[in-house]
Amino acid sequence: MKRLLIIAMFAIASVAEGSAQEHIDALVNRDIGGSRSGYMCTKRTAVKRDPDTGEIIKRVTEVVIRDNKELAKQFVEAFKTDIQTAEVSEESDKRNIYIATAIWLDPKRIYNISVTGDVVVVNVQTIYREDE
Amino acid sequence: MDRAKHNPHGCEHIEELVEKFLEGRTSNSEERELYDWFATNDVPEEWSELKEMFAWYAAGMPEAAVVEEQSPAPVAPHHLRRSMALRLGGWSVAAAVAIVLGIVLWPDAEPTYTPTNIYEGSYVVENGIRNDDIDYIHKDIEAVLARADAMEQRANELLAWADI
Repeated sequence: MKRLLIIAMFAIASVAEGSAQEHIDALVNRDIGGSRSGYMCTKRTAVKRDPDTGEIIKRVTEVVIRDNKELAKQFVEAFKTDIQTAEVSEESDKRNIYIATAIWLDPKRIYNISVTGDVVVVNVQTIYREDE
Repeated sequence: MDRAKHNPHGCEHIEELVEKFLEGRTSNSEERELYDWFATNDVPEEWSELKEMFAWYAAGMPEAAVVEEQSPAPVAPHHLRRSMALRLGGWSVAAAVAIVLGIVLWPDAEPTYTPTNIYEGSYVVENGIRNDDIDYIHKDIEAVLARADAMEQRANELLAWADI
């Protein structure tokens, strides 16, 4: 019985781990923007490597969207859903301003969103190794 | 020329070539002329070391071990050894420079991670147009990383408050 309980806990933990930021990731990784999309979108992916080995230290993706209320709403909903599985989080939702930060560990992942009026800034980073 | 008068062998031209050779100023044809002359002429006792030396050069400067099997290795007189070392040293420096240039300029050489390409894999998509020219977008990358660092600092504070 005890063994069964441990296996069940591992299974739940695995599912939770796999889906921790799936809603946010789905939006961030979506092919958004483009000349026909009708709104301004910039996606920047920065990869920082160890200068000696080339090993990735950190990967950051930043998405900036202007004038797309529907997409802004989807991002806010995704954050509100995924933030519940975070190790640590903080959230502020006042009038037209929504700001949230969610942190997961192993590896350390920090997800941040800032919605101000018609501008949405999402910053998603995975830290594979602490910088020295 | 006074020196010609003192030349006991009457080979003024050869003596001049030997001097040029020891100073490293001879052309390939002049060196060949020296090798041939010393190989085909009987030389007096005081030039016997030069004869051995030119024979060694003419044979393509074989390794000492190989020479030992065939004949005793030529021993250049002390004042010649320095000149030989300088000539060989010059070639060594040229070879080292060529190797270094080859490594730096060879297009398929192993990549080295310079301050520019530590951002390899980074890109920017602006209104559907992707740009992964690191030199062009490096300011964007550094700005994104700076913002990410500030967020990481805030995250570390939150983790510390949560005692995680």
